[in-house]
Amino acid sequence: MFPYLIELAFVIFAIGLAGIASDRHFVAILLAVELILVASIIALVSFFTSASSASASPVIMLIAIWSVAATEIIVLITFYVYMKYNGVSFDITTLSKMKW
Amino acid sequence: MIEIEAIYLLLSAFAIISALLVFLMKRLLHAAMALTITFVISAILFAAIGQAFIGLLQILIFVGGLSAYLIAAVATETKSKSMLKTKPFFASAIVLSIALTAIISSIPQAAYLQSTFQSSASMMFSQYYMLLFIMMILLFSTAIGGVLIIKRFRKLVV
Repeated sequence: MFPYLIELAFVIFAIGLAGIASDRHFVAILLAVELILVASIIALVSFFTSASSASASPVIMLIAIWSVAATEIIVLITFYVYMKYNGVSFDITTLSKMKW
Repeated sequence: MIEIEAIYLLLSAFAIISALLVFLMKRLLHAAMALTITFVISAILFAAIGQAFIGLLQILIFVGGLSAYLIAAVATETKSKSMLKTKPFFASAIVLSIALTAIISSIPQAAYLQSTFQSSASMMFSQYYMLLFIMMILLFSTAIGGVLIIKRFRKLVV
């Protein structure tokens, strides 16, 4: 019924995964994880819309994904503030030098 | 019908371009804005397929909450973020897209997938809903912990 949405979800997922694999910036990697979460939301909603009955709603599952995304933004901003004000490099290959 | 498909294709193309711009932009602020555009386009797509409530929630949570928070946090960053090697990025993105599409199109029985999907969804809403609520509470406590850690960083820095 909605033929392009699954492919769109896959393409966005692949872009996010490729970004994780080929970028070393900490914030960019977490933005890539956000992209993967958006792709999962698109896939979930398109599956539900085309496959489920009218009584089922994807909102409860979506709340789980939304809470993961919200928590990830919190973690991103927490580490961003820590790294920026403590002079830690955003390159994740130097994350072993991060200490309390 | 052709116009509707054209609109879907156009919106999908915009979503893919904005998802690529998240990595191709050099400033963090621009990358966060490109991510916001991806959120908005996905919400428009949800409204277009008849799930307007989910699209509305997507706008409220992702665009109104998370993206505003993210943009406010990274707006002061002026350094370039780009550590991306562009050719491996594009090559791996294209290969992964083709592989995932091939996998999902090679599933032989869509009806079987539909029935299992319906049964698993009904189980999720009837028997295992408590697990979802526990997961939500855990994630919410993580968010509160993140805010507390930020407060501790401020005490350390200032």
